[in-house]
Amino acid sequence: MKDLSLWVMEEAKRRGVQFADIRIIENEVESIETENGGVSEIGRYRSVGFGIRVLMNGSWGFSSSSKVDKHEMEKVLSEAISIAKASSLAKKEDVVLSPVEVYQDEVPHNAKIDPFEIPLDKKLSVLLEADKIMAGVNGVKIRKGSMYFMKERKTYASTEGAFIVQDRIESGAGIVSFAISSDGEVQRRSYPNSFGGDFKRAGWEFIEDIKLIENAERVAKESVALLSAKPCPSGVMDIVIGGSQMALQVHESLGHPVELDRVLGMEASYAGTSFLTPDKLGNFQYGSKIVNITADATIPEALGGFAYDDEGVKGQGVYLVKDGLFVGYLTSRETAHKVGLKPMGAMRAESWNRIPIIRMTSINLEPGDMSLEELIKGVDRGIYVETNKSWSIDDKRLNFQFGTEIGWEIKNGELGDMIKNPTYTGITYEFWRNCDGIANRDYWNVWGVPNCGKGEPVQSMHVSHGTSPARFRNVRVGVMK
Amino acid sequence: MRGREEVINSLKEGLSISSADEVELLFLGKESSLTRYANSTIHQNVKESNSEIRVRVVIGKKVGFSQTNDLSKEGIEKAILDAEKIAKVTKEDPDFVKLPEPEEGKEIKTFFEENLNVKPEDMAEKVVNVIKRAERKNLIASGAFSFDIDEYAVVNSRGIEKYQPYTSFFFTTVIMGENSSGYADRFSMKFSELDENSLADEAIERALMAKNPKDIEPGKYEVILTEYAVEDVISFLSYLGFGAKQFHQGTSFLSGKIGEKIMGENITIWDDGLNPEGAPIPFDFEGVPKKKVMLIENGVAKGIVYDSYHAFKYHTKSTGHALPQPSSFGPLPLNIFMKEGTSSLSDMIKNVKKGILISRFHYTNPLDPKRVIITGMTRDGTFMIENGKISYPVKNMRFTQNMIEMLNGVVEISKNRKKQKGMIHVSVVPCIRVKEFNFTGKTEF
Repeated sequence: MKDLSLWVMEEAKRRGVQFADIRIIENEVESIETENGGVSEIGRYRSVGFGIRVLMNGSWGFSSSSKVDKHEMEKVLSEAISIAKASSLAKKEDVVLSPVEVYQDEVPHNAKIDPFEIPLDKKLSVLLEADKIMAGVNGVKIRKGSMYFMKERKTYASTEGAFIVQDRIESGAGIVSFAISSDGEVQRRSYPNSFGGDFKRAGWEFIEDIKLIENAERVAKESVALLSAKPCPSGVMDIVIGGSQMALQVHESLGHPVELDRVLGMEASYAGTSFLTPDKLGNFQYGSKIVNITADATIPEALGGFAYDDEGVKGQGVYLVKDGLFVGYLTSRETAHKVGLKPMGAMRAESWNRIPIIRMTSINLEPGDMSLEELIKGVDRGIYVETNKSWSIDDKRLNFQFGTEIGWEIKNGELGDMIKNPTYTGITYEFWRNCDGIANRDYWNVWGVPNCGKGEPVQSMHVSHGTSPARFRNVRVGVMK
Repeated sequence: MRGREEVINSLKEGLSISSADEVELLFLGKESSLTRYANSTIHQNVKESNSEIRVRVVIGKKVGFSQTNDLSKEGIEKAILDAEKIAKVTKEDPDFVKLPEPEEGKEIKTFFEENLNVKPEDMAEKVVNVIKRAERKNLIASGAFSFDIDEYAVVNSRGIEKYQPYTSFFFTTVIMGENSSGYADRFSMKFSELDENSLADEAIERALMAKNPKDIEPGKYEVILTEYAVEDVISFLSYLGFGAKQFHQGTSFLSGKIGEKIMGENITIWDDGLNPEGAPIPFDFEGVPKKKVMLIENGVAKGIVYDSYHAFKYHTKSTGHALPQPSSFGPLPLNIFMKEGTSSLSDMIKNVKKGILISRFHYTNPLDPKRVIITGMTRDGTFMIENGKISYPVKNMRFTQNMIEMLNGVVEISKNRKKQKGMIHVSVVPCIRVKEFNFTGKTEF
C-alpha cells in the first residue's frame, strides 16, 4: 500500500494539484446478535478501498473506489481533479489550509486480546447466558444481545509528505430486555447503555469487563417493573442525570454546536448551524463555573480517540468549555484557517468512500468533586434519570428534549419510587448554567457512541464522551402526553 | 457499472463454490456522485464507486452471513467460506424454513441511459443556477445534489436470478436569509426532468415569507403540514409499525389491531413497489417480486409487509419487502403512498381561523415507539395563520405529539401529492390539515 499511495501522491503533484491526500482502508467487522434465545445474526463483513481528496483551482474534489490498484488510482485521481474543477464553477474564495506538522508514523492497535481470535462459540455463550437469565424473569417478552468487533488498517499519505499507518481494534456489547403489558404498553431496559451497549477502542478484555451476565437479571427485572411504575411527574424541578445519559447530553448540546464547519454554515442544508458563533468564542458563559469540557483524542481506549486524524493532524486534547466559558472549537485545516485558529485534529471520514469532515473526538465533561449520593441529597423535589431512549434538538442546538429508559423520584434528598417515560427539556446554555454538581472521577466513564450521524452522504462516526452523573436545577420535566 | 451479464455470471460462479445446503448472493453496486453546496459555494463534491456482495448460506437450519467488496474470485470465495464457517458454529434457527423460490414478476424500467452522460460540471451548473437565483434576492443557498447509478442483483440456489439497474437524482436546497430559511427538494429518475429553477423558487419564497419571525407560546394549535412534514410522519409509521417483525413481537402500533379502525376514515396508506409514480423496483433484496400491500384503508388497520423469513414463520406469503439480510428491522415498506384528498394548500389556509403552517420538521425522534409519540422541532418556515391568511412567521417550536391521534384528526387533505425521498424509502404524500397538534416548547429563532 505504501508504494501505491506514495506513487499516486507524486502523480497528483505532477498534475499540478495544490494539495492531495489519500486514505486506503482495509476493514473487517464481526457482528453477533441474539434474540429470544436464538441467534439472529453472526456476520463477517470485509471492506477495502481508497479515497483521494484533491485541492485544485482553490476547490475540493474527492473520488473513491473499492478496486485498489494502480490503474484504478490513476482513474480516481483524474475524477477527483475533474470534480475539483467543477466545484470551482461555484467558488467565492479559494480554500486555504492551515499549515501543520507533517508526520511519518506507524501506530499499532491497543487491544490486549484480539477479539477476532476469540472463538465464536465463546462469544455466543456470553450472550446466550445473559439471554437465559433475562428469560427467567417473569414478564420479559423480548430479549436481545449484541456484540461488535472491528479491525482496521488505515494508510494515509499526502502531497506534503505525510505517511501514516494506523491499526485500530474496537469492541462493543450490550443487552436489552423488553416487557409488554397486557394492554400493549412496551418498556425496555438496556445494559450497559442503549443502542447496542458500550464500545471502546479495545479488545476482548473490554467485553469481559462489561459483565453482561452479571447485569442481566437486574435489567430484566427493571423492564418489568417499569410497566407498573408511576408516570414521570410534570413541572419545573431539579434533575440528576446518570452518566450514560450525560454522554448524550454533552454530545448533542456541546459536541455538535462546537463543530466549526456547522458554525460556518457548511452543514446548513442537513444538520443545521450552531448558536456558538465565532463572536462568542472566549466571552460566552456556556455553563456554570464548575463546567469544564474537553475534546481529547488521546484518552486510552476511548472510541473517539486516535493518534492522527484523517488530515494527518496529531490527536490532541483541548478545552472547549473552561470554568463555564466557551473557549474552543473542533476544527479542520480549512475551517481553522477561516477563523484564525490552529487545527486541533478533528477531521475524520466514516470509511475510504467518504470525505473527511469535522467530527467529535472524545468530548468529555470533566469530573467534579461530589458523590452520586451527595448529588441526590441536595435535591428536595426532583428526579434521577438513566439511559437514553430518545433525543432531539433544534438546528442551532438550543432547544433540546431527551427521554430516558428509567427514572426515580427524589424527595427530600432521597431516591423514591421508580418512574416511567422520563423526559426533560431546556435551552442549552440556560440548562448548563444551572449545573451545580458533577460526580467525581469514581463515577466517570468514557462512553462509546458508535452512531453519530452527520454529512451528506451521511457518515456514521464512532465518538465517545467521558462523563459522570451531574445535577441541574430548575429543569422542565415530564412533557410527554 | 458492470452490467447484467458480468454481475449475474460472477454471482453464479460464487454459487457454485459453496457446499452449503442453500446459498444466496446479493449484489449491490453503486456509482454515486454528490455535489454539496453551502454559503453559496460548492464546498464538498464527491464520487464513490463500490460494489459489494452479501452472502447468506444455510446448513440445515443454521444460517451464516458475510459481506465483501473484493469481487475477485478469491474475494468471493473467502466471503462464502466466512459465511459457511459461521453457519457451522451458530445455533439452529427453528423458524428458518428455506430461501425463497423463483417467482415471475413484472418488468419495470428504472434505468435511463441518457443519465450516464451527466458530468460533474453538469451538476455544478444546476447548483450554480440555484445559487444565482438565491443571490438575486440577497439570500444564501446551501444543499446537496446527488446522482446514483445502482445495480441490484440476487441469485440463490433455488433458482432466483434477478438483476435491476437504477438511476436516480435527489436535489435539496435550504435558502437562508438573515433570520429565516426555506427548504425544497426534488427526486427524479431522469436528469432532464429536474427543474432547479422551480426548486430554488420554492425555497426562496418560503425564506422570504419567514423573515423576522415572532415569538409565540407553545400549546395546542390547528396545523397544516406540508408534504415534507407529512413524509416525516409516514417514515416513523413505516419503521415503527408496518413491518412483520415489529407487528408480531408486539411493539408495533398495529399489533393486535388488524381490522380495527385506528385512524380517521380519510386516511389510506399503502405500499406499492411497482407504481411508477413512486420509485419502483420490481423485486426485494431476496429477489421476491414486489406486491402491493394495503396498510391502512379508510382508517382501518389492514396489513403489514413480509420478507420470506417472517412469512414462513407466521404461515403467510412474502410480500416482497425484504431488506438486505440480515436485517435487525425485519421487512419494511420502501414505496409508500398516502391517498390524496380534494383540497389544496391554499384552500386549507383559507379554512383555518387560527393555526400554524409547518413547512418541515427537524430532528424528529420517537419518545414512545409503540404509541408513535414523536418529538421534534419545526424548521425552514413556520407561520401563523389567522382568519384564512398567513399573518406572520413564527419562531421554531418543539412538538411532542401522538401521531396516531393526529391522523385521527385530519380534516383536510390535498389533491396534489409530492414524491419524497426518506432515509431508505420513497413516499408519495399530500399536505394535510390537522385539528389539533401539541407544541411543547420553543426556541430562539
